[in-house]
Amino acid sequence: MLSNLPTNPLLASQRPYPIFVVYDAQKWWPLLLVPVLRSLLSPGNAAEILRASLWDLAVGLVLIGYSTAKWLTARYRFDRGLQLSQGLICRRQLWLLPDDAASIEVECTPLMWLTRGRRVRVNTAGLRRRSDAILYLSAERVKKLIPRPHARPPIRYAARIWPVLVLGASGSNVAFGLLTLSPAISHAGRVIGHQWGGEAAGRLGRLLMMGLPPLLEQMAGLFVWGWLLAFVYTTLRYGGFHAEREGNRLHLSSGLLTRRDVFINSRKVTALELRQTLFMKLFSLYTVTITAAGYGREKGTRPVVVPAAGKRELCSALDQLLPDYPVCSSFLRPRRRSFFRYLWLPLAVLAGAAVLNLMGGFYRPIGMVLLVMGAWQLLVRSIGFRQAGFGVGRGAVAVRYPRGLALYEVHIPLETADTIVIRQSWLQRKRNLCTVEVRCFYEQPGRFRRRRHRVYCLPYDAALHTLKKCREYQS
Amino acid sequence: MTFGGNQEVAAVLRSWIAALGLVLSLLWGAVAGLFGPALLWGNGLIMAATLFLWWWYPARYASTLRGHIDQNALYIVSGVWFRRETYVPFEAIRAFECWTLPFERLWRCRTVVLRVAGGTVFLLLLPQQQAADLLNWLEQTGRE
Repeated sequence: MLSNLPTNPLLASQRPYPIFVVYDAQKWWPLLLVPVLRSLLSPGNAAEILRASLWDLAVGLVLIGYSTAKWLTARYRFDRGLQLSQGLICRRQLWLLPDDAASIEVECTPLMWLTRGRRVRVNTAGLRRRSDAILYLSAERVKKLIPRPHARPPIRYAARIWPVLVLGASGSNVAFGLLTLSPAISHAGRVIGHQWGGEAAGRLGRLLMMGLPPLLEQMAGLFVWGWLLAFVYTTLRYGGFHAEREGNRLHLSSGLLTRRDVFINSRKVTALELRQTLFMKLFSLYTVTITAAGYGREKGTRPVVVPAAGKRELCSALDQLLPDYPVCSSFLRPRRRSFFRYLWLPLAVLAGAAVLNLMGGFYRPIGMVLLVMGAWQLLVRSIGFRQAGFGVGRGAVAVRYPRGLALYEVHIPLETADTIVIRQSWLQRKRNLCTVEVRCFYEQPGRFRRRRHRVYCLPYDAALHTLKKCREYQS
Repeated sequence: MTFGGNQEVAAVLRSWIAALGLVLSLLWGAVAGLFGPALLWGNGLIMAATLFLWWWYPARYASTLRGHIDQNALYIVSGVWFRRETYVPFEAIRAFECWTLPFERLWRCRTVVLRVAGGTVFLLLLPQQQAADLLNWLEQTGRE
């Protein structure tokens, strides 16, 4: 991707944008709490606190000076690739070869918007925890470095607001959100007055609390605030989402406060995943994420292509954004008789919950929480069984299956599905059934791993035949 | 192109071992200060272990470090207790880095880091000239 960049003599050995100092010194910010903690933990007279704070300030200034020195010595250069050199104690020089940059992410926080700076992350297809190179550049330079192809107007997909809100609500922890509605209601009852609060809110509160003691009510309050925060965070992150296709380049842009522009070579997309939670199923919405080397590596990022859309909107968006991406439409389904195989885990949880409820006392609240979780998963797995399947065709392997509290449909191009495993337990052998496992590379914030997609209870002979089809395609 | 350890590689390792021994000794001294001087014999053990490692390990490491570049791959052998043979096809390399820490700068050594799709390969403590030759070679081949 970097080979598309022009080799400009003016760009030879440049120093990063000065905003580098702010973001490099960011890790020292928690030290600002030291004077506050000292004054709280060992209260003395004002003169002593002031003298100690001056020392803290001096240490802070030294650390900022260190970051400034790092900025003064840092250099980068684009010359058919990227060369970056930075660090004082550990001096690091990096060479990124042309065509090896799989994705480029341009970030603009409110501070960067004010100072006209940008953070550019360059990712290669390696198994890495963080971006290969992080650069701080001015907005003008970023515009020059990542030019837009003017040959044709880009194909554009823009997400609507309400599906993004639904994504925010479902991505945040809905179960806890529902569980914790009751303290909010009972509190509202207290605020509004005794007439309403004493009767309706009390009954509704008791119903929703499912017998939770007041101690857990406080915890539930914390969870609801956590859920609300997560909801606001997701909404801010995916608000104003739009995706554009410019030739082979996929340009994804999102964020209300911090704007992120991600450029991906669409040929390097290695998996397409459709995800649906129970909450989203109510509205017939899907979230589409992709696996592209490097994208989604940083904390808090999800490689979303379509945040939330109904089936028709989704098909049209994918036809526009990834028209060449192979998608398989025929699936081998699990046998009807194996329905129980999908349900045994939630049923076991429900049985455990029933036992705990019968024991009463301290165990009862735990039992109630398990009951809700078990019932929730029972619903997801029941729906998941109806949709589960495995298929090979049109250049892709596809699997549909329930995992955790969501339903997944994954399409992987045949050339990137690195392993397909057919497994048979002793019981499955007797019934001529099998489990199909498709393994592929997956980027996850903070770590990397191989993801395993498993579909249970497929007919063995048919699965073997499908696998042979896959081998024929690959050969 | 061939690689191999030399006296400077051993010197870097000696510096690190000495520094580590000193820090451990200080920490153990602090522990002895808290729980009683009877624990100070531990310092003697730490110093003895440090001295043994300082004398024995670096030269061995430098003598086992060797490697070469053939037409399309890099081959490196290193390690004293566990010998590691690393083979990196050039086409697999996505990015490469050169790291230097203060002791390495002092004794003219470099650490070369190769980023490949399957992870990261560290070529620890190559002599400065050999590291520079390797980086130049990687850069030239990458451009071609």
